[in-house]
Amino acid sequence: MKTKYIVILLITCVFWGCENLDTPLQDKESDLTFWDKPEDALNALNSCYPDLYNADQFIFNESLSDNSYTKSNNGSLVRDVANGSYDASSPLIRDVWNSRYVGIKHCNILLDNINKVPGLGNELKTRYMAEARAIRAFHYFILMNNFGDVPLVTKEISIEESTKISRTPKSEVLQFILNELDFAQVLPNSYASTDKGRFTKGAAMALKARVLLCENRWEDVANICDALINKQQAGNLDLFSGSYADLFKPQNKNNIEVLLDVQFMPINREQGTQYYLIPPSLGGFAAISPTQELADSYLLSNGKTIADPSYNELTPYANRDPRLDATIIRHGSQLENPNGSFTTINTALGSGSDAINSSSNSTPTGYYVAKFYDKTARNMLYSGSNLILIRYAEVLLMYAEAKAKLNTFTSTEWNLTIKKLRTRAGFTNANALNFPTVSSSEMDEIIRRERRSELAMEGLRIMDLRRWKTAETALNGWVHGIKTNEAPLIDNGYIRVENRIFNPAKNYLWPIPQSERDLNKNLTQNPNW
Amino acid sequence: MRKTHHTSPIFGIYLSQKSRLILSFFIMINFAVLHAQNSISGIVKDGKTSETIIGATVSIKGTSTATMTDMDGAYTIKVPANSVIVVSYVGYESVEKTVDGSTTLDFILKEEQNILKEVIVVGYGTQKKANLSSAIGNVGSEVFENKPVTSASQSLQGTIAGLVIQQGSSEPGQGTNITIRGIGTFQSGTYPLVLIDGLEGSIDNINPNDIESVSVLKDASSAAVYGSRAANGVILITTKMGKSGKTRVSYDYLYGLQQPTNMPKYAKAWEYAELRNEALINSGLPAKFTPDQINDFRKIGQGTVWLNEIYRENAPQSTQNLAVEGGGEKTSYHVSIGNVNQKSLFEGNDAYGLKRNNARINIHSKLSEKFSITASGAYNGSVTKEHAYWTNWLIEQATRIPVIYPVKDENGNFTLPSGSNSNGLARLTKGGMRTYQNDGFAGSISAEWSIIKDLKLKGFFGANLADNNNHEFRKSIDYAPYTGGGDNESSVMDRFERTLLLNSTLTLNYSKKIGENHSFTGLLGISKESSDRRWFQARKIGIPGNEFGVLGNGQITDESNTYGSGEEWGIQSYFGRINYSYKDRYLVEGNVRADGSSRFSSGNHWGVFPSFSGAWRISKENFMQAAPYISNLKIRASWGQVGNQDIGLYKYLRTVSVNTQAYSFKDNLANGAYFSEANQDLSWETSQMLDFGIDAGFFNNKLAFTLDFYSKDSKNVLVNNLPVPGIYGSGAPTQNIGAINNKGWEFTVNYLFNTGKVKHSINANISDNVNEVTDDGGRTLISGTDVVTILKNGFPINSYYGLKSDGFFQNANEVANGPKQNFNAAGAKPGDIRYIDRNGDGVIKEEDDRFILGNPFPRYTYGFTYTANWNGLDLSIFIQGVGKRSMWIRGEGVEAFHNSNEGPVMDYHIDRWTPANPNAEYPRLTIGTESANNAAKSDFWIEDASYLRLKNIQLGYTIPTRFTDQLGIAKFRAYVTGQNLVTLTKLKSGYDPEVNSAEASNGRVYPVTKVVAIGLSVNF
Repeated sequence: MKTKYIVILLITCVFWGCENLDTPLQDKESDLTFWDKPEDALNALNSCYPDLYNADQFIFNESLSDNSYTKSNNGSLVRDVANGSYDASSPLIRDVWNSRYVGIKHCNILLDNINKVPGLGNELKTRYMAEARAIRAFHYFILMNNFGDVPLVTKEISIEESTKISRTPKSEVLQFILNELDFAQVLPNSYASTDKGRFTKGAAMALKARVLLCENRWEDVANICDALINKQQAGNLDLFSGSYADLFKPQNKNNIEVLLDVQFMPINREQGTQYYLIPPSLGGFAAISPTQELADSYLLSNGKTIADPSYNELTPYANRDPRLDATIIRHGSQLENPNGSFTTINTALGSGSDAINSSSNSTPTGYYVAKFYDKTARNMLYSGSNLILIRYAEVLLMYAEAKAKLNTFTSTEWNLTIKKLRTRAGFTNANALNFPTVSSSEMDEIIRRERRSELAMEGLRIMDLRRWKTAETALNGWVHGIKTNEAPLIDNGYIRVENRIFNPAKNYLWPIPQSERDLNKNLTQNPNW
Repeated sequence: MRKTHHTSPIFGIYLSQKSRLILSFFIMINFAVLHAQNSISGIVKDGKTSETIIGATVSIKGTSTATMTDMDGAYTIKVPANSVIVVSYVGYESVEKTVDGSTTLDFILKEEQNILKEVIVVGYGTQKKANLSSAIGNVGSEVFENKPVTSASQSLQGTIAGLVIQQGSSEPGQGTNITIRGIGTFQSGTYPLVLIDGLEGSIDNINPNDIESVSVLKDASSAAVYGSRAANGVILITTKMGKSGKTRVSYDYLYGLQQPTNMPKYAKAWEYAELRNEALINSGLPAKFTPDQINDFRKIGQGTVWLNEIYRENAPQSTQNLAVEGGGEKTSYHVSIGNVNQKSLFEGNDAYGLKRNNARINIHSKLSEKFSITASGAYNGSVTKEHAYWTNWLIEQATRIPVIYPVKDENGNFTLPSGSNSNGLARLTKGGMRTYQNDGFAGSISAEWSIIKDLKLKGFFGANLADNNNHEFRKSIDYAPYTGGGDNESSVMDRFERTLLLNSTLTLNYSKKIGENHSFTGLLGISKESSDRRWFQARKIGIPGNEFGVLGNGQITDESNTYGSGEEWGIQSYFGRINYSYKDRYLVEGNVRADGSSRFSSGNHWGVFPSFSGAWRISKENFMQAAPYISNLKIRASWGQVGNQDIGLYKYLRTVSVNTQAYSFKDNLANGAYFSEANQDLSWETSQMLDFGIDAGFFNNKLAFTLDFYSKDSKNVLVNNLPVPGIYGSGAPTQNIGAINNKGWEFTVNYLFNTGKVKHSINANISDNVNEVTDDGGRTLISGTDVVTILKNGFPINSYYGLKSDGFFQNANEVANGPKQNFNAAGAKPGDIRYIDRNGDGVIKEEDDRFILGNPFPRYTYGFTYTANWNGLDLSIFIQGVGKRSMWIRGEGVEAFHNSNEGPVMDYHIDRWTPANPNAEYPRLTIGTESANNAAKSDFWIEDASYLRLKNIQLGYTIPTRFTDQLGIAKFRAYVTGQNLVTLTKLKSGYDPEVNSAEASNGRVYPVTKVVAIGLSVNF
């Protein structure tokens, strides 16, 4: 008798804590149950926003141009692309390609499924779709700008499909982007406080103007800018009323001038780019160093270039466009510490730990970056500052450039654009502010210089060099740092930093990544790669 | 090979919790039945020691009547006249005596000499070694005794052929890397299943002194009984059970000093400065140091080697163990406590290091002739304290900083050296501490019931609870008077994790001998295992005053580091085994296991894993009597399938994770939804293994060897990082598409011999394993940034992939006529590495000029143990090594001025190429972009990492018992020992050849240590 009980009990022992083999998910749901409430659509949309720009990629972008040099090989080897030592296997090229298609997929997931979501009102649904389509258009613009023809993926695709798809001609991609941005004009002009940072109508229009600018479609650019500036079709837009330098500070995030940005916040969603920008005495590494060429491009306060006899090479930073100091940390710059006191940064040869080439932390050009400096950054390195992708100043500059190209740039447009920017920048000299009487090519030159000074370090310079077709000049030969006179006979004593090579027959477009072509035989390569 | 069913096909019984509790009650009941008969009595003694033997079985031949000797070794049994009494005891030869009419009959038992009679632990049971038909490696407790190591796996290294153990880092609290017969998976777990007395456990947490034996189930035949968890091999650890009789106490103490084995050697300060100038000039940049400065550097000689600053010259280590065993007729016990105290080599705080306490109690009780229970409980608690930063980054910085920079200035302040916004020694000294506190409780109860003579039912229930928590208090560091320090922030983080593993097993064992020639054994079992893991973590930033680092004092919650979650998995299994032997000459065995795992979708839960093996004991054949010197000769063959289920959870579902910090809109956090990639059809990885073996013994087995050949084919191997086009927009879902073959052989030889009064033993083993990707899923996978590897059909997993170097360009002419090296815009210069233009297009490009350049897997791993005993003196020498291995080290660990850094310059950089030194070891020195050519991924950086190491040497003396007896001491032994004392290696960069971890590829590894120790063992 006992035996029977024991057997039963031993068997029970085995089933101690009997388990179901279908163990439940404990911290997330599966897509079988997703898309059943409006919040799901919103969450899927929100995940599209971080893809707008990776902070590091944004900050390193400028070092692809003549405005800046990066000594480190951070930022997916931006340095090697800048100096021409790259091919289809370059990590930067692959990373830009991949990250944009990751972003496109996030948008496609929302757009493919949003119709399943019950209880989502039509108006909200249209807005969500417009936001996602505008973000997707932003991705395609960056792809098109770098690669020309690219595969146009507008819904979630299978792996199988992704190995077969071929490149869509640039003209079709362009038309797609323009159509999407037209649709996005259903977006509101602005949002309530907890939604600030979402794509607006103004952002969609300004992006469209930028896309058309790269196609030299001056008439269209002028019309959109006119609608934004004069007709106020996207609401009341203006320059930030404070100083140019303060425009980028975290306390002024979401100011009136901002049309589109990548949003960050302290602690919970920080960006760590400050380490690349500030001098070692503040804890930085100076991976990104503005060049002498950029410093030289700033006007004198009298509106003349440094070719003017009033420029003194020994006091190079006196009487300059105030945006120079707002953008660049140079020898003698004053930087505000977290406690409100000021530190003087010395970058001249042998002037201490921040001096040019004094250590591997210090700048190889003699310059650091001031524009994004956030004295409130956690541990001096982690900032909650937003990174501005499109701002109203650029709309003004696009308007000026288009009008000048159309030969309809009069003192009215000058006052509305260049003068307005220079006044905000802090110019007071009438010579700099008043409409100059110059030839149209000289006016082009003035507007381009204005654009460079206003937008320096914001990642647009490489796009401008490409569309102006000036990269073969700007990106060929040595880039320089400050005058150290270590070798007085070479380049007038300005230190050589890097010798760059740009071949106009191939470098205007990046190659299609090798890794991509290995997996998809239908992808053609750009010329001469 | 797969069947689908959702409920248990054998038992459908489920009882309430109350019923479960009654079980424990029943187990306690002693239902022994005593039989009364006419008596004869006597004493059983050990023939060698003359000690009485407790618990020996005394039975009457041909009947089921039996009894056992008591505490005094005495027995009384009722017998009919003229019957034969048989006395047997484990480890002794049985003795038979006919009852001759007297009422007393004493027995003297001799220890079994023949090692083939050895019983070894196999899956869910034991087997005589002689009857094995599969490949099982086995070692006893002697391997673990008196070695200056902190974990059992370190002791096992090199002792069993085919078991490859690599010590990646000697940092206190770090485990080892274990593989058995190669790697049969691309990215799933490769760690073997480790069972401690039948319950899954950690080989690094168990007290090595508690181990009685270790069996390594190497072939699929022996491992198939563990089914889906056995693809990486199985290690069965059996702990000491204790013998009845007089209470025996043993105490061991060991104290030693650890030192780093190999360390990079640096160029002297002035050499550094000269070489830096040379590199700058070579790179088109102005020189940095003036001749005057260089002269000043000559005065400081070596300068500051930062690596020497962050490590101590030596750090102590000690272990203590106390064990008590004994028991009565029916119950025996073994109780032990152990303590390990290993200090870290890191400077900065004397508290850095590992402290571990182990306690174990094993009790076995024979409740009756038919019923016995075993209970086992073990605790392990370790506390590891270390700096609050990351070891690899501390080493990285210390490696990079040039010797010209001091770690402290003349006023004793920590410096902020060039190229850094921190100071590693300051972080070690003032930067706070991280504490890992791991507590584990493992307990099991099993009950065994002999239903009838040949049939035994065994129930087992075990639980393993692991509680891991870690506390990190990072202090802010004030680098005044220096500015720009990056350690301005204090923070505190706590992480708690609890894993509970439950396992119940029920097995039925049957053994039957029919006639003289046929014997059968059979096993049927069911098992159920489940795991539940929970964790949470919280981090706060800003601790006012830099003291009292607890979460409650933190100012701001770091949301992205504050989270918690949990996961569960379960396996349900049915298994069986059958053995048959004919005349002890022909042996066959079959195993099968069906496993249902929660890791797959409902249609794919179940997998079936069968195995077969057979052996022919040629030495038992009559014709072998002509060769009496051959005492054993057996050939074996086995085939089987095993699975790998260590593949992650919920991979069959497309899950949606909602990240609460996906984005922020004007400083308001916003949730974002992220979709995983899923594959509904996901299934087991399956390995199929074929093994052939020979066991041979000569001269009464004084010389014995074992040779095995095997081939393991792993199929349906998961591949989760298949390259997919970027336009797909995410990674590929995991798929069962890969295949890998592992082939190898293992050879072990044992030799026992005496010269005069000296007893010698030699044990040597060597093994080789080669893996080959047989199906890469149709796509070659190239991965890695610093070290590039390729996964490609026909080559070992993750073979090194890079350019092949072809000496240095000697002059401009050679550069102009050689293939174009366009790693930087300017091209190569004389003194740069020339690469082979594989496709002959005149241009060196990574896409089309790379070669497969070897792999990091060790080959010809060997171990050699020699022991000698003479008049109380004992010596053992253990040599271990790897015959062939290559290692690719990149970064600051090997490159002069790595990338754009200021340092380092090691001694082997001095022999660099200059026009005057064309036959140099190292290319011309360069900095930054100018280095791109030489820093390209090539075989120039791949080194020979084979080694031979004097792993352990031990010299001991045991004081003769005639002196110690008077003190009541049974044995007193004192010894000196050394671990890793001598290492022969060709590795030029100064690292330990054993390092094998993700960090090893850049040299950022805590060094393997050598230890010199003294110890004593006392038995009472």
